[in-house]
Amino acid sequence: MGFLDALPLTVMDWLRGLLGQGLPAWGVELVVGLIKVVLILVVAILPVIVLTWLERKVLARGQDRFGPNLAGPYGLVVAFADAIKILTKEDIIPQAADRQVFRFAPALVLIPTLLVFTVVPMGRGMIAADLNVGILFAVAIGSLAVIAIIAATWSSGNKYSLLSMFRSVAQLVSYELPMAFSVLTVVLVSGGLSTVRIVEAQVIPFALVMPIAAVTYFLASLAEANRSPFDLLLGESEIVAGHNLEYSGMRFAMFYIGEYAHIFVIGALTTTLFLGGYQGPILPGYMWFLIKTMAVVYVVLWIRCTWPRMRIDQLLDFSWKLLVPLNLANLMLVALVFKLAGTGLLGSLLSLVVNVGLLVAVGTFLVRRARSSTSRRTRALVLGEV
Amino acid sequence: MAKAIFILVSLVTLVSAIGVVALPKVLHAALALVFALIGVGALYALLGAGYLAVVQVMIYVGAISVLIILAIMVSQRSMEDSQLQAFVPHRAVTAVVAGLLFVVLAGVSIGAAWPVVETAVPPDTIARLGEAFAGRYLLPFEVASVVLLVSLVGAVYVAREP
Repeated sequence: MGFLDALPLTVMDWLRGLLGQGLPAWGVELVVGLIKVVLILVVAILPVIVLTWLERKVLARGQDRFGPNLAGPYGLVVAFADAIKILTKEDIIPQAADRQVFRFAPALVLIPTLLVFTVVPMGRGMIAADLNVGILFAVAIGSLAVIAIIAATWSSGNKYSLLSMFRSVAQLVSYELPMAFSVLTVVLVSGGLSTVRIVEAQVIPFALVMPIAAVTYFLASLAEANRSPFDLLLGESEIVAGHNLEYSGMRFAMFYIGEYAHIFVIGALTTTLFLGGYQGPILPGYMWFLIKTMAVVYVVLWIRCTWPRMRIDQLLDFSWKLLVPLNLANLMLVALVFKLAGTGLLGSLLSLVVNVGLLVAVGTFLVRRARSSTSRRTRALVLGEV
Repeated sequence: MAKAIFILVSLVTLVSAIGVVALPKVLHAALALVFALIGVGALYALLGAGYLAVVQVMIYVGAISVLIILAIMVSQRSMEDSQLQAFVPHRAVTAVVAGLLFVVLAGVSIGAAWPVVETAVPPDTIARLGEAFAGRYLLPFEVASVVLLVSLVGAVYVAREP
């Protein structure tokens, strides 16, 4: 472990020693805990400022525009302009709203997203809490997001919000299953639920060992974050922006921050589970973590400007009829491969071959069925015919 | 430190639990239930049962509470204020039943010995749990999954249009 790699830990140890001179043991733990909380808040909120700018830039490039370029160099100050605009907006609570829940819901939106960061290893030894159930904790906390959306939509007292909520619940419940299966495949191979252990187990990043699980996890977490192409609960053209429709001002900003923090969570967890986390040559661990996370985040933004939104029936079919069976088959095959060939290089190589083989087999089957099908919808979905 | 956290968590859990029975709107009660269940999960975590705590949050908060809330919304006219009326006409009967239940539960919990294990919780509880499920308790585990499967098939059968 190099000097730069261990620098944050060294600073933390020094601080701990400094505090230990004046405070009892529990006091030191309390202060260190508070510092960790503040660090997590910074790590979660700081990217939001960058992401609001980055999304505008990437979307603009995707649509052959310039994007923000007037406020500061490369339009970098646009996020601060956003913040000032939002802070000066009037806070409106509709007449039909359930006032207490309506006020409470925006706070609830951000909590699950922030909690996930406690189990993300951001560098060697840089994790707020290395739980022995780490990744399960992340999945469980991720399932809390739906409660916040329910509270926000129901309390708005608006029928469009309610429509959005039914879509969102159907979506979140459906995509939890393929997500759990892909995580299960990772846990099976790494032999532990702790996120640090999962990262350490990835001599070869798991994305290269089991691409099916990696892609499924990525897609399912897009669905969980309500990102494009699964953002139909925000369908502007049909339900006028859905669950945050009645919110304004700072309360709306909480949804906004929550959404972008969630994108960063997708990047961080995908990196931890499938891209080898903080592992990498030369550069210190936290730099690798940041680079990999931002690469995933870029893909998320890229998808938004290239893929059209899915319809609710397509969305549910995609999860239940394709992702769930595919991942179930993948889980069994990977388990078999690693049982027979061991978790070494041979096992990893065989697992990759099996994964690609499965993907090719399913793809050929789907295309064949679509070719012989007379249904316009199936042909459009699989073959891309209009 | 652990004691302070315990008191805080139990306080939140108890207040939410009272909210579940006392709040007039059904949806508020359901949201209070969510907090009570999270509080119970936190208590499990304090007792060193991390796996149980996470599963509690995943199953009860992530799945069952959502189901309850959806059921409330679908079965009532959700856009209107739904006042809870169920127990009002039978106050006396409800009070007697609840009182008897309280006496029984209090008797059991006061009479129990509450043995405390002195040794620390082993770090590999999850692996041991998995081995127990796949070995010694395989039959009950499989029977439970068959029950779930049957209820799943039954639900599809009931919901399907004839």
